Amino acid sequence: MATKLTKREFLKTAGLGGCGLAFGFGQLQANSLGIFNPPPPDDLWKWSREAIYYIDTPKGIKCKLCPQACEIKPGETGDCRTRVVKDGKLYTIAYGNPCAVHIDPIEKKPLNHFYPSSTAFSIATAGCNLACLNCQNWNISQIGPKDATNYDLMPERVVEECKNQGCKSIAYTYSDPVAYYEYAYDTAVLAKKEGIKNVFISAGYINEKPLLDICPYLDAANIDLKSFSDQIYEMLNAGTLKPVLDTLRTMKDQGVWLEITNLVVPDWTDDMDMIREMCEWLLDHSFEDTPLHFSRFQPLYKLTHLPPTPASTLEQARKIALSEGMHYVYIGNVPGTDDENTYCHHCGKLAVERKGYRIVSNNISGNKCKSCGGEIPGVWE
Amino acid sequence: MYLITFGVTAMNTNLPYKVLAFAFGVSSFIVQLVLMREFMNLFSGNELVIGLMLALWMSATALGAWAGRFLSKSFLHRWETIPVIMMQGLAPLAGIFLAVWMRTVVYAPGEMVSLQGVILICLSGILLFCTLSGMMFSILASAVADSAGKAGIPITYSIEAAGSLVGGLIFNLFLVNRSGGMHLLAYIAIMNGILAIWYAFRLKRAAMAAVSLLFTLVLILMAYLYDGDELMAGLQHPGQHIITTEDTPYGRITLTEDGGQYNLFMHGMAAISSDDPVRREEKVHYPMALHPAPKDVLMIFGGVDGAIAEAQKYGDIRLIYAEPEYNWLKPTASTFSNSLLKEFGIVNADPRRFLARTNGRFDVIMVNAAAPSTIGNNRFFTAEFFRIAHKTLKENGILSIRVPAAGNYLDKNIRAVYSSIYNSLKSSFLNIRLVPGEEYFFLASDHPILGDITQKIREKNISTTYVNEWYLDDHLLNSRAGTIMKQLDEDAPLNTDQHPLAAFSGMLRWIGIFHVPFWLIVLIPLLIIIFFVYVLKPVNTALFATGFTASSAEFILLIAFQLAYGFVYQMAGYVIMFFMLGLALGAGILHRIMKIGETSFLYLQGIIGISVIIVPLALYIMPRESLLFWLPGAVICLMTFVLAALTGIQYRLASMLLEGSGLKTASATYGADLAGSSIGIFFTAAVIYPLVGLLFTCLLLRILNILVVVYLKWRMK
Repeated sequence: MATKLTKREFLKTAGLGGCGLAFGFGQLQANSLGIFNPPPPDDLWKWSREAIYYIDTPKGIKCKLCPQACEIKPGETGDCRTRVVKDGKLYTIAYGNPCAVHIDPIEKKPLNHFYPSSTAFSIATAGCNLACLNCQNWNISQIGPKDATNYDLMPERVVEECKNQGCKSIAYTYSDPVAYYEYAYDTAVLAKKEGIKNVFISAGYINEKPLLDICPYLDAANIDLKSFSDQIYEMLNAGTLKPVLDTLRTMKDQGVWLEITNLVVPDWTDDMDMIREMCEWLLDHSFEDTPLHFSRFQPLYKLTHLPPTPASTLEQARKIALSEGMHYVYIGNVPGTDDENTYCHHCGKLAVERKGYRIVSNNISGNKCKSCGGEIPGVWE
Repeated sequence: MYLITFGVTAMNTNLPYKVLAFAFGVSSFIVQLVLMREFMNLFSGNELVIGLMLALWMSATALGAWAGRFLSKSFLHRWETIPVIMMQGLAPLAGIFLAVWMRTVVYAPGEMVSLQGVILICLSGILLFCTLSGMMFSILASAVADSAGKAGIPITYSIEAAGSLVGGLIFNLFLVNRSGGMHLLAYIAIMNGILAIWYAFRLKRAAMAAVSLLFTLVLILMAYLYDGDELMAGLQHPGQHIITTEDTPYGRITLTEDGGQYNLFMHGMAAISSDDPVRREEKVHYPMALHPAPKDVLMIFGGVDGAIAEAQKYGDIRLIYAEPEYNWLKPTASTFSNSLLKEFGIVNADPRRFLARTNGRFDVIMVNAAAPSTIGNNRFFTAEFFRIAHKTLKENGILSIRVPAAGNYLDKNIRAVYSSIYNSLKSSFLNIRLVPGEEYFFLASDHPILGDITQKIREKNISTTYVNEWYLDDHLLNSRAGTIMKQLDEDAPLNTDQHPLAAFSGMLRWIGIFHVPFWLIVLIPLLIIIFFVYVLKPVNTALFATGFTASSAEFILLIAFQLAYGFVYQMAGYVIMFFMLGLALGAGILHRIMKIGETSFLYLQGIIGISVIIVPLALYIMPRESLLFWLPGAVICLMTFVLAALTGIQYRLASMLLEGSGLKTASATYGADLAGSSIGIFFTAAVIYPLVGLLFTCLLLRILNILVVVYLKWRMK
């Protein structure tokens, strides 16, 4: 016997049916674009290792790797998206699973005083402990390893591939090696044994202990000193300034060859007084021989409504740094400028003439300027 | 003659209410278009933003219409009406300043606005104006109904629509290319000021008339003294010296200077800058170097930054530059130091249309369109466009398409975009090569595209700053390209005009950046639909569905305009104008063809559904690019008109069928119509159309109408 539907029943049925149809159809269509793929669970996987730096507090697990000091609960990840808690232990899920693997000129890192013209076997896993609004690798840094398509490249294979490709060094880069510290550490240890150089390209947002532990295996680093203001660090990068300055000092003390990049973002970090203040700090802490790269901003990620940095702003910043007493100041991401060359700070003569990522002429012998014999700091050969 | 006498004054006719309804129609049309422009510029929005903005607009108006039922009928005879009229004039100006201010406060300098931010900022900009508009409509319709009976509601509806039509005519014929948005809003405020003076006299309120006069004079003075558009540009681009800001049929162009560098912002986004050899050279030298001997070259967009001069380094070439905004960009081109340019041809029209109609044949076609993250941009990345380009290439010709750069990692979204574009290129070309520089380019040809770029540059003796062996390593470039090409999905669906997958991916990328899950965008409108169907009376449910269908169809027709002409920014005015004409005539005159009754109502619902089906058929059949320029537009406008007229007739029938007071009926019918419209346009723009394409969208709308007819038949028993 047919039963008459009430208005409420009709609507309920129609609503549920409609929702079901819409979702079903949407799911079908959207899956091809990867829209509804749910984030994978925080289960451990082949690419998990117990993290090295964490403590168990009465409130739960606290990561001690970086100054974010995340208190991670089961089912969550740290800010870096690479750390999860399982059975009362902290694990990294970024170990042996880089999502980006490329061979780059070392000058692209940028490292101008470190084996010029060599190539770096460059790797990165997904995840980063900062969240810069202008990140140029945001599609790696702002996702977790489980959301990425990854290679299976354990440390041994990284070293092997690096050798096969004839690269001088392994660069831990693109996102931030702090996020995949354990992977970088183990790879660096193996690489060192094989005579391969290790290069950290990082924002330097790391605690002292882990930094000290990895420094013996690092040959060079480029640390991104993003600004010289805590407020800007907070707003632009979700970090703070002091830990980065600490990293610079520690690395220098530990004898890691260091270069510094300062990305000049219009309206954010293009205040010349701030740049002067930054240079004063660097000089006060004996960084005058540390190459400083003022890099041009391009509108990327969330900062798409700003224009690129004017070349004149970068030149002005360079002039200030030189006048303050920095010896080696470069301009990056501006092709065709003379400010990518190295000039001997003793005699002012051209020591290394560069065009892009290539060396046109090299007037350095050993670590000495061929013109005056003065020492030009760096790892040249 | 109907005489209403209240304590303070007497109005012996409902003419003043009709005048007010008409004037509000004029202003709401112009304000809607201006604010749409401003918001698109503020957010650099895609179709989702357009849909969202229109949805918010209609929702806020519906809210106002609903709130109107709580006002006393005597409101129109009280002095408070006068400040409301003034406030309604001032609201858009205040709203847009509030929106820009919020954008600078809530978001960091230069930061992209999230979906949540778009909602918040849009609402803050339109809420006051829209709620006042809706509220005033309810009261005015009720007042007209008092003298004209229930027919007064659709009469007011059609008068308001007629006002919108006139507003559309004024806007499209006189204002669009002559005044900036802030000026237009100032004119609206002044118009309302004059309206307030007139109304104060009607109410015999001398003090209020004086206040209104003062208000109007202050507005005129401020409009004369301040350039609101430049002020807005300054707020939007802090730290930049604004050289010029212009509205074009495609959007807004703002030229700025900072530290000796000139920057061109197109639709709010940083587009090109002087002293940027990387971007200037990459788009030219990759295809030009790899072609054996380019002679006839077509550059589509992106030439004013010096790319034209780069192309002219290849000796004696015949270069045509297709740039519909060239007249506006010419000053920029000269600012960007292009004084050494040799002669070249200019196509000052839609490049796609030009390609479809030209008899010329090219060795190289460079397409430097912006990323296909909107349907407008996407039309240069579709299989249909590639087919047209293929026909105009010589035997060994190369088509170069700039696509969004993947950086160091090919994420799912970019992979889907690349795969779709790659397969679309494959549907016309035999060979595809990817060049992953700082920006990424797909090169397509029927001949193999062989050779190393830097070697070719050297062989051809082309002097470059960036595209040379110093900056590029051919081996690394080729290896990176190989890695990416291997990851592309050969089974990915094509990117087509009717189903713009790349644009949809762009939208997903945007919402993904801010971690908004797509299912939320599907779920919320669905829940709202269920809620409305539950609370509305059957006739109002039908109006809700008609609003849903009509606004969805309006969106589709706007997209059709976009596909046919490449610009919707200005033409939106015409489409909406024809929509308003249809509404006005439908509700005012054409309703006479239908008898008032439930059967007619049901038939009409069915006819509306059928008319929606005609839309995709017409659009499919129409060979857009090869037709006379005006013909696709005329067809689209005609379809818009028919659909809107049917909607107008249905509104009339619904008003007559409903029981209850004039005020409640006006409030309910107007509210239901607008609520359906707002959900419809959002759901179609953000979900249905991007997901299933044009044909299935129209089919779904047809199914919706059938369901409503079934529902009505069941409920009206």
